[in-house]
Amino acid sequence: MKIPGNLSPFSWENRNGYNMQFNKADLEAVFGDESSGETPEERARTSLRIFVRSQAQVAFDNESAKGRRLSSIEALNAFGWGIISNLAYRTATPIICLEGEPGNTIKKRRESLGLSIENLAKAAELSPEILQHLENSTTRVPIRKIENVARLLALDETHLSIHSGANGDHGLGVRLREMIGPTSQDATHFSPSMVLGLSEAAWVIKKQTELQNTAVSYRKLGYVPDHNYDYPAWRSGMRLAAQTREKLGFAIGDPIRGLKDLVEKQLGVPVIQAELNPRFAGATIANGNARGIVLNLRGFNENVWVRRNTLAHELCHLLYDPGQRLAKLLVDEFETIETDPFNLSKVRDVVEIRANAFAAEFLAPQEAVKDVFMGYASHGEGLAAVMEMYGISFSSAKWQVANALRISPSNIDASGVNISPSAEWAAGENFTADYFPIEAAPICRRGRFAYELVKAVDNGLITSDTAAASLGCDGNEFLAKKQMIRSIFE
Amino acid sequence: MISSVSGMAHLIVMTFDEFREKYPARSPKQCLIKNDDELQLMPKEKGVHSFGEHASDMLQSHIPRDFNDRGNIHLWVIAQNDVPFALEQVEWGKGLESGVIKHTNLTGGSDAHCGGELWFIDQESVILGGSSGRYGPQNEQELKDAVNSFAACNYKVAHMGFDEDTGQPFTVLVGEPQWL
Repeated sequence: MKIPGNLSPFSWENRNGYNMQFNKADLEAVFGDESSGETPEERARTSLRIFVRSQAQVAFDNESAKGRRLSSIEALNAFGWGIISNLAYRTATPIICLEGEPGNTIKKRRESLGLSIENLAKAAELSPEILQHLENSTTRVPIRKIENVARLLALDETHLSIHSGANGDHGLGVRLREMIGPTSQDATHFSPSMVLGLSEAAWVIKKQTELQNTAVSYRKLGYVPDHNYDYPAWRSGMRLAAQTREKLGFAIGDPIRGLKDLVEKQLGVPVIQAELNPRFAGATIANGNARGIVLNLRGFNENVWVRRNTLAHELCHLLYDPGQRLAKLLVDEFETIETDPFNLSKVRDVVEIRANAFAAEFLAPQEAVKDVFMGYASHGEGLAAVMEMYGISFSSAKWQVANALRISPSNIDASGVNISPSAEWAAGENFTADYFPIEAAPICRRGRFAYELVKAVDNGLITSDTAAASLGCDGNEFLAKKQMIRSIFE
Repeated sequence: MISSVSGMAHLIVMTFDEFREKYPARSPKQCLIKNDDELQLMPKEKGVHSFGEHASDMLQSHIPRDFNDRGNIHLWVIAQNDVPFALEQVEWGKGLESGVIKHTNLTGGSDAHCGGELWFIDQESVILGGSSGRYGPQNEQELKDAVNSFAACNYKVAHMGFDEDTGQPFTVLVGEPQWL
């Protein structure tokens, strides 16, 4: 098959408009006799053939190959027909787009995130020498190791070698760089491990979004950015909370149980669990077109009620803050989140004031909180009832009650209140961090992402090798534990 | 087998005959032969050379490092009686159904011991690859032995190496050439 000179080998999908005829013999040679259809995509979707790639080339799967195994549709999406059509005539075909790839991409990304060779090598469990060789393209490195590095840097590992830059989000890189190190102008002062934790989470967000593909999208459901931060911003937060509860079908007094599930299933927003510096509560990240929430499991978030509050806070950012406010990455500290949303002297940023008010009102509307609280003789019992009813933290319950009653929080006698969530609440917000069938899986990949991988394997979209590599285990372990992962999420 | 010392490198050189003895001739993979043109024997005068014979008209090339520009690729075969090679894009091949020559055009479809690609970097230096669907080396050792046989013809030789990830010889060079 001859490719028109003005079309790149990757743009085969755009050639549909050219009414291009594909050579049947080539399609059969590449995708196998059992495949059917007139186009590479139709063939790939019906093909059982497995491909294998390295740093430099792609070939048909074979017994001696140790590289990454890809389904036909994965291979087609990654390399394009222009490249894999060569396999009709060759045993292997090159995939490197430019001399020095993928090393140049890895090096540029590492530098753009402000990470040293040592920082990245340690996280990727490589020696600094090997990483340096990889970056300088002076030696061959197994593709599985290179992919591991790419995932940590929020690069698309399927694009390594083929596209310079590997589809990394430049804006996200810049934002992370701005926040790193003691010279940062930003008060958060990220450490290298914090940057790596957030960039890996950004990778999971993007992959989970791609796997969900045509599933629900909060934008399609009508959740659009709201530009109203007018004084007092908490009023806008309360309005948005009421609006969101109504859209989701919650009556005024209904508690919201299983918040993480709701956010992921009903709104299609990836919620990624992470173990970060205990100072940080959560973050909202945009990686390309994908947006998601990162929740720190450490610090105050160890209490599931606080964690719910953090999640609701980040949800407000994600659903309603315009893109320029998020600036690709917005990280919240507990100091900001665990604050009375209506005390404007404590938090000065209107974006945070609005998100704090949203979180409190979304989880426990003041009108309903007031009724529950007033049903008890003592403040302590009333507060405990509010916390248990709505699954909110002690401080959040106190502020909601005080603001509902128009009294100062200091006037509420909260002595003796048990601030530990019940087992039922803890189970309802299960984050699969404590128990996950694949021990080697990093915390941030143990959520719904794992379930989406299982579904994609069962639907023939990706190989079990792709899923296993994404979870940090081998293919056999993934296959042995696939059903267990499924049962956690179904 | 000849053992020679060149500078610091210790090189075990294998002649083509020794290679043939170690790796018997085999038929080209029939499943890869797409049309009868691929079995036509390319006439010598149309641009087939024998490795080791003096030839001044060889097209030199840069080292192939990416898929966009793989340079001037020559195909080689360790055939039963000689080691023919020719430019893949040779004029004669344009008249064939595939538009380029295949390794079988160097043998007429006969059995051969090994095959691959090569690039003349200068008059004395060649880089070899083992990419040939029809006669390609079946493992890294076979590729290394083939390369050693080329080195016995007084050329400075490097090879692309064998890609463990794909289980196939490399089709582009990653890193610097490792000259034998």
